[in-house]
Amino acid sequence: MAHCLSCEKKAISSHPQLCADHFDEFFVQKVKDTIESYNLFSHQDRICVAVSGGKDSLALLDVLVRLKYNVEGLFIHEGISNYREASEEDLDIFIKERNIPVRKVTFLDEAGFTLDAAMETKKFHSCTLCGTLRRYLLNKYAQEYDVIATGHNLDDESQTVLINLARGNTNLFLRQGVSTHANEHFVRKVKPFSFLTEKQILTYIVLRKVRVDFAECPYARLSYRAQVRDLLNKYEQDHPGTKENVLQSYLAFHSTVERPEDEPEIQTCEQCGQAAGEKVCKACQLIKQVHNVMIQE
Amino acid sequence: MKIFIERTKETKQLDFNGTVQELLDTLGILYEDVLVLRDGSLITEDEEVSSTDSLTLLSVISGG
Repeated sequence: MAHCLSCEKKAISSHPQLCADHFDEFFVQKVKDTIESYNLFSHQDRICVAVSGGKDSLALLDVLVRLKYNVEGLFIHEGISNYREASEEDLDIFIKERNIPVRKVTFLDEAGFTLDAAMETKKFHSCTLCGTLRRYLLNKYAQEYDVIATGHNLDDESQTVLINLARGNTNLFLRQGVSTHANEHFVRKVKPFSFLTEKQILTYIVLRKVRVDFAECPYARLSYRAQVRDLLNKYEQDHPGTKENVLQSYLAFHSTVERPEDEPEIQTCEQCGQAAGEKVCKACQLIKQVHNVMIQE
Repeated sequence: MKIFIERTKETKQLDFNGTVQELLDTLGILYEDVLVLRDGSLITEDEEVSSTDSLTLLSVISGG
């Protein structure tokens, strides 16, 4: 039986090898260090936390409330049956107990279809469609806030480094980071969990006795990300520290690279008035395509 | 030993004595992918488990 490296109690975690009390201390300190080192936000800022009701977003809300930050939530219901209902229920219990305001929006109200309905056409890639609409709605409803905080963790970030490398997504590769650049069109996005693994986040959730659903998105198994995730988890088990090494190597490289000057000019979408890389933003283009396919069927 | 796998809501009965790591190897599950609880308390991979134990495996993998 392993003992905590900071005291004589039994360890409940191997990486780092700590007891429950010291793990909690480690976890909260890691979040504080990330917020302060990367100047993510201050106690004067209004923070919009993107919440799904899953473990990452509930843990993020929980830590930020403990650290006395000014947080509110934004919940986006994609319309995935037998999946999102359970996490919405967990979210409702969580925010009621802590009295946190959360705004709720749905794909159905905003785009006129659920993700399930769009996927039934078999013409769209689930994660591309879902990701584009989620980012669009997040930016749309977070305009009044200083910053958007998401529960992206070390697993997500190290996977993204490898995915962008493997796919040759050089533009996306250069934009990744613990915080995005603020500009007049987009609310700055920050990731306070960038240096905490999914396993550490779930450990925190268990220790804090927060109720979360463990269902996996039915579309996630289809993704390229799922393959990279499985590969990285195998590497992490055989060589602990791999995920952090991938992200830290990327960030060290990133800090030496100047942002490209030929970035596309941001325009205003002719249809929705939101920021766009072209005359019509990606979200409006996709929504139109889905409606066109649905009408034909 | 009774093992409840939260992700699939599946319960397995197994005659096993050894460490958590050996148990997960037997089940073909990566330790990196799960948290292991005995009677509601987290245990690490080097912990000895026996046939009389009741374990829960929580999936670390995010909802998506």
